Formats: sequence, structure tokens, C-alpha cells
Amino acid sequence: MRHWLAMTDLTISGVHKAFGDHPVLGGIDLAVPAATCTAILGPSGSGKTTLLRILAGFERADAGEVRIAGELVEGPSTHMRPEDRRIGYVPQEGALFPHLRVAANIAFGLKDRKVKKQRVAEMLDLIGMSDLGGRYPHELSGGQQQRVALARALAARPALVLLDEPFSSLDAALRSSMRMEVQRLLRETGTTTILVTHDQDEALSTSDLVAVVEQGRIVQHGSPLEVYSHPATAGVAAFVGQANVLAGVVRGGRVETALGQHLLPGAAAPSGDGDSVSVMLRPEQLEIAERGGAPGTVTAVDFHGHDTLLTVALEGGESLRVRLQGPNHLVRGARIALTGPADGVTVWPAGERPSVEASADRA
Amino acid sequence: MTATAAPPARPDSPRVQPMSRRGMSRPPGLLLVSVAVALLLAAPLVFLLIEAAGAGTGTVWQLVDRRLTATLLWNTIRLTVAVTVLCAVIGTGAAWLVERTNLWGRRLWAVLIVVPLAIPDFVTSFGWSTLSPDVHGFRGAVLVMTLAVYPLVFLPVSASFRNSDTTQEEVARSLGVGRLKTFVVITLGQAAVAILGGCLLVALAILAEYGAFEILAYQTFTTEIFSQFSTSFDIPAACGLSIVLILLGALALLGEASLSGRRRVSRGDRGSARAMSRLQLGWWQIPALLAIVALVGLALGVPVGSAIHLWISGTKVGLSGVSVGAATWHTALYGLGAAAISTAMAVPVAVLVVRHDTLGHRLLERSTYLVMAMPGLVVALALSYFSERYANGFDYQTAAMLIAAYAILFFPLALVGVKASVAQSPPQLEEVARSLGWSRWAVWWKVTRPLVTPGLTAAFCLVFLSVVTELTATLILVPINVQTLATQFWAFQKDGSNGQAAPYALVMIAIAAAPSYVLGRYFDRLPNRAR
Repeated sequence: MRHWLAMTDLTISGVHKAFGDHPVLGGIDLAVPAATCTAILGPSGSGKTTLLRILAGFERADAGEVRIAGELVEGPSTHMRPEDRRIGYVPQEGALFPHLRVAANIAFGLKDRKVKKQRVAEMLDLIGMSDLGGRYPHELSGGQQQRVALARALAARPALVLLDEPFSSLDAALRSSMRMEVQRLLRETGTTTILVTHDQDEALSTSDLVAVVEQGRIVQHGSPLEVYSHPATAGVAAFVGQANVLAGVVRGGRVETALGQHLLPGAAAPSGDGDSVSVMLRPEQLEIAERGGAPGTVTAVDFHGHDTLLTVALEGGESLRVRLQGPNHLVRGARIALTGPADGVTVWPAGERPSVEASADRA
Repeated sequence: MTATAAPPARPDSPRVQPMSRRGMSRPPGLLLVSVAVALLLAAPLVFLLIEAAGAGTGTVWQLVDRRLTATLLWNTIRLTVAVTVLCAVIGTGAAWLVERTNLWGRRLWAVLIVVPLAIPDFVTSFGWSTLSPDVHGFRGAVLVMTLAVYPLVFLPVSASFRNSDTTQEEVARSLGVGRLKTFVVITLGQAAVAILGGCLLVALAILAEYGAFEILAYQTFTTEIFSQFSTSFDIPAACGLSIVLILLGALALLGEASLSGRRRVSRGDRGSARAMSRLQLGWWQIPALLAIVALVGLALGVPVGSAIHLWISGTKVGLSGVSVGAATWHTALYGLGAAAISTAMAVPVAVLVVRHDTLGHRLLERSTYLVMAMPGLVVALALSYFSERYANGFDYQTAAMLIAAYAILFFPLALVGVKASVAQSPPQLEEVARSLGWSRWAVWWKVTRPLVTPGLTAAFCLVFLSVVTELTATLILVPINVQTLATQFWAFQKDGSNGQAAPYALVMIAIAAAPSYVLGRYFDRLPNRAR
């Protein structure tokens, strides 16, 4: 099953796009290694779908270049037609051809009659729907439709697969199982993949690399672990999870906050002694102190089964989120003390902090 | 000092972005062709205004500002109001019985209730007037027109009942609202837009009707305009009255738009197909069944029955006319031509408004609705004035002129079907097909064509059927020495040769009846976005 495809990489450089006088992409640079999955993560309206449409050839870039396996497909004087790009495209909701049966949908991009039948059977087998080739799309469940859409995109062995929020129309349980299945399919076939999503769980769990897009620019590009543990900006931090941001002061290779002293990460911008900085801690990095620590009061308890999220008001006035494993017996109003980790914190220049009122719609 | 971080402000969501920003760019020439179509559709109105201006506004006003006009206005308006109200009640009631109760044989009734739509109004009128000489004047007109056009309310309302969300009714009942109030507030409230839409079609049909009222000796604007034109040759008077008639139609359009505009119904979950609970009629089956049987008997049985009776028992010799075969041939020829042209004209306008939805494009599309306010008589008169004045009568009473009149007249019907079919083929599917390696033309053939064909066929049939049963414009514009089914029927009927007229009526009904049922079902199955 492996090595169906020539290993393909994708390079995007300086891509700009505006609709009328409304700028959508302001200079996108991105390199996608062959046989990996890169998630493009961003809020609605950040321009990620427009980028995908430029890659597929449905929109033209105003400036910049796109190369697939080194070949220029989009440039100032180049525009390869969508049908010549060998790209598998899976839009939201699948967009199966309603007038064609499942098998005919999968065969749609196969031009060689001799291999058609065998290839369709292979793909049906791959998605576990061997007995459903004769169905029409409206006779399938949402998850089945999505699998057929993926099989259709992969059948002609595309150089690159583009997934546009492919799981957003599915319910939560189905979404996570589909995610794992798609990941398996893409790995097995060694396909270079771009996944556009606004769902951070999806981006972190499915992909090898994550590119976070904000207002038409890539603000961070790295492994899911890097993006989650050391987000480049407060916006990224908030987008890939919950974040506590505290004021801190640098002293002798460490940074001091209300929660104690933390090792200054090597990746942080060089800061001199006495500099004020912002320190980001994930809720799971905080712990309840047995002794010492910063005292505070529990103001909310959100029990999720596998974990519990506390909101704690410190005596200094700060409100922090703390994630504890499993259930616990703390109730609202309990007095506790918190400590932070010795290392693994993220440090930004002082003042890097998102607005407070916008935090309401996270969670 | 601390904050739980949040993402930056979100600009507009991509789902609500207009298609024109995200879809493929507008092909050049599309707007140009659409504007040309809109201008062609406006042409009859423009000719009419030029003609009126030529006669002098003073003269036209004198002709309009007469006692006669007041009588015509009273006759037209009271008939329109009476028939519209009756149709609203009968159409909605029948739709509710068929769609929301366990009425016996409701599938059969659903079909039979719609069939009268395929019977030309002048044939219904003919059937009743040969049955009883008492059917004439205002009461006769109310009876005949109600029975002829109530399906225009029944069709949209039954579709609305079928597709609407019954959970709202359940919620109302659970909130302690009684059965009757729930019916009035929720059930009728949800169907209000459909009822208003149907009433508009009824009102416009009555304003445009000529043949039925001529038979019933009931004078309206349309009959008066026709006699001014064909008997007195008083063109300025016909023009002035036509303008008043168009204003009445425009008034009906505006009234419907302003009433239904505020009543757009939002609905919940449409994905899950859930069996709708029907009201159990119990002993009410009997009165309900009697009412439906009476309706079908009066609306379908009387006209068809009396046509068959006349055909069998009436005199078959007397006046000479063209054979049924020849009349059918010409009718079919004109119908096919007009249907092809109307459908073709609707395509650019539909693509523009469905795929590139902007305010300007929507206004352009809406401007074509004005044609709905123009009765066939007025369109035919405007075209004939034009040809006499500017084309030396060259095109007057030629097949081309007649087909052009039909194409303009039935454009709004074609547009409904074509818009639905364009919506059946979202640009997303074409994009996917392109990325799977097929060229623009291959994608058109393999994806777009099969998806739009049913809708285009429906539009084509709709126009064709309308041409078959059209009388008024045909009488004015039909080429010399040619008879269609409608005009030959009319010629015999006018001379009292009812036995000779009957077979033409029956052929018209036969051509129109079967496909109109199929069409009704087609529009029913469309998803809501297409309507």
C-alpha cells in the first residue's frame, strides 16, 4: 500500500490575495514536506479557505508563488488550471455528485478504463465500504459520505490532498473516529496533505505540522507540541487551548511570577535582569501546593469526567484556570494555594495579552 | 493582571460571505445577456407607454376618466377580491385535509384536486354555461373562476404543509395553547407566505382572463380592452385601459411582496425525516370526504363531463374549420418554440442571481417579475402596435411574433424552474470535478448537464403547457389562415357550434393534464433553497 505516490512537497511563497479592497491573505510563506500532514489552523475569516482555493487553482493569487514538487503552478504569469494540478480536494460536506453512485463518484477522476474497476474496488475496501458501491450519496450517512469524498480524492493518486474542514459537519463522536481513520488512510498512502480547520483539537491530533493563521498571515508554524507548549503570540496560545497569562520579572536566568520562579526558556527573546515580561502557563501546568504557594479561592468548578477545570481567584486579584486529573472534592469557595512549574513556561515581551472580554467565548 | 487568553476578534464568517466573493468569477457577457433579456421583457410596457404618449396624455386621461372605467374598475376589483378570498379558503382547506389529516384516499385526491389547473379557464366557463344558462354575470364569474384557479393556492400551500416543521405545533400545544389557536397561529402562520403567493397568482390570473368572462358576459378591463381593440379599433382607449390594468397587477405584486416580506418563516431541523403525525378525523371523515368530492366534481367533473357530453351528442357538422390534427400541430409547434426560447432566456438571469448573488443582480431579476402584471392581451397589443407602427406590420400576425409574445409572457414561469435547476448544481461540485482532472467542458457534460436537466425540462414543460391553453394573445397574434386548438375552439364556441368545439377542448385538457401532475411532484421534491 505504501509509496503509491511520488513524494511531493509544496512550497508557498509570498502569496497575497484581496477581494476588492478587502485584503484576505497578506503574504503567506509555507513549506510542506512530502508525505506529511500540515494543518492550517485559524479562526473563521482568517483567510485559510482562500489559501486552499488558491492551491487548488479555483482562485488566482494577486502575488506570490505556489510550487508543487518544484513545479510552478501559480505565479505572476502562471496559472495552471485546476484539472492539471493533480490535487485531491475534499470540501466541507463532501460535495459528492448527487446523480452518481458511490462507485461512479470514486471513479470520477480515473481516466484509464482498464484500471478503473480494480482501483474503485481497492478504494472501497480501503474505506471499508466494499458493499456500498451501488448506493447513491443521499443513501449514506454523513460519515460515509465523507469517506467516499476522501476515496474519490485519493483514487487518482493525487500529488497533494486538500481537506477543507472535512469533519465539521459530523457529530463529536463520529468526528474523532473519522479523524483517526483519515489519518490512517493518509499515512498508509503516504499522501502530502493540507488540512484546513478552525478546530484546535483536530489540528493538534491529526497533523504533523501546524500553521496558525491570523488575519491573512501565518503567525506560527511548527509541530503540534511546539505550537501548544510555546505559542508565539497570545492569540495562538488562546487558539490552541486555554491559557493563563501572568506578569513576571526576569532575574538571573529565571522569571518570577505570583506562582514562584520558573526557568527562562532558551527560546525566549533575550531579556536582561529586571525586565518585565508576560508569562503563559497552561491550566495543566498549575498544581495545588501542599505547602506554600500563592493562596486563592476557588470560584468555579467545571467537572468533565476525565479532568476538572478550576477557576481560582488569587489574593492578588488574578483569576487562573487550573486543570486537575480526574474528579476531586473541591467546591466553590474552597481556599487553596497554587504553584507553577519549575520550567516549561512561555515568555513573551510584557503586555502580550489578549483582551479579557473576548475570553468569554472560549471554553 | 491575568487573563484567560482568547483568539483575536473574528471577522465575518466565511459561510455568510456572498457567493460572488468565493465562487468562480462571473463569466464576461453574462450580465450583458441578462440585461438584454430584461430589456426585451420590458419592451411591451415601453411600447405601450410610447403609444399612450403619442396619443397625448390628455386624450388618454379623457378616455380613462369615464363612467365606463369606474364600472370596469368595480367589476374587476370585486371579482378579484371575491375569487381570491374563496380560493384562499378552499385551496388552504383542501391542502390541510390532504396533507395533515388521515382523509381517506388522500393520495388520489391530491392528484384530482390539481388537475383543474390543466383545464383552460375558458373551457371551464364553457362547460358551466352550456350546463346552465343561469351561470353568467358576477355570480357566474365567481363560481367559474374559483373552480378554475383554486389549485394555484392549493399547490404552494400543500407543499408548505408537507415541508413545514410540525415540532412548532407540538411546542405550542405543550405551552398550553389550544388546538384551534395552534392551527390559526402556528399552522396557518407557517403557511402564510405560501397562501399569499397563491393569492397573488389567483389575482393576476383574474386580471388577465378574457375568454371565460366573454362567455359569461361579465365585463372587466380585459374584455373591454379586447373589444376596443378588435371591434372599435380604438387604440388610444385600449392603451389607456391597459395601463390601468397593469397598475392593478403591479399593485397586487407590491401588496404580496410587502405582506410576505415580513413573514419569512425560519424553521428548525430539516435534516431528519420524521413521520408527521396526522390529525385523526374520526366521524369527520364523512363531511370532509363529501366536501372534497364536491370540489372535485364541480371543478373537474363539470367541465370535462360537459365537454364529453357535447362531443358525443352535439352536432358535428356545420361550420368549417381546421382539423383537430392541424390545430394540434400548430399549437405544439408554437409551444415548443416558445418553451425553448423562454427557457434559454431564463438561463443567464438565473445563473446571475443564483451564483453571483448581489443586490444589483437581484434587482435585475426582480425587474422581470413585472411581466407577471402584464396580461397576455396587453403583451399582444403592445407587440402588434409596435409592428404596425415601426415594422410596417411586417411581423404582425406571424408565427415569430406570436412565439415572441409567448416567450415574454411565460418568462416568469420558466425562470422559476431554471433557478431551481441552477441551484441543483452548486459551483462546489464543478470545482471538485475540475480538481479531479476534467476540463471545463467535460465537467459541464458530466456534472452540470445531468444535474440541471430535470429543472430545465420542468421549465420547458411549464411554458409549453401554458402556451397550449393560452387564448387571448393567440387570438390577436395568430397568423392568418392558422388555427390553434384554443382559437379553433373559440371560433366554434362563439358561433354556438358547441359539439364541434368540444373535441378541441378535450385535446387541450389531455395535453395539459398528465404532465402538470408530474411537474407538481417535481417542484415538490426540490430542497427549500431552490424555491
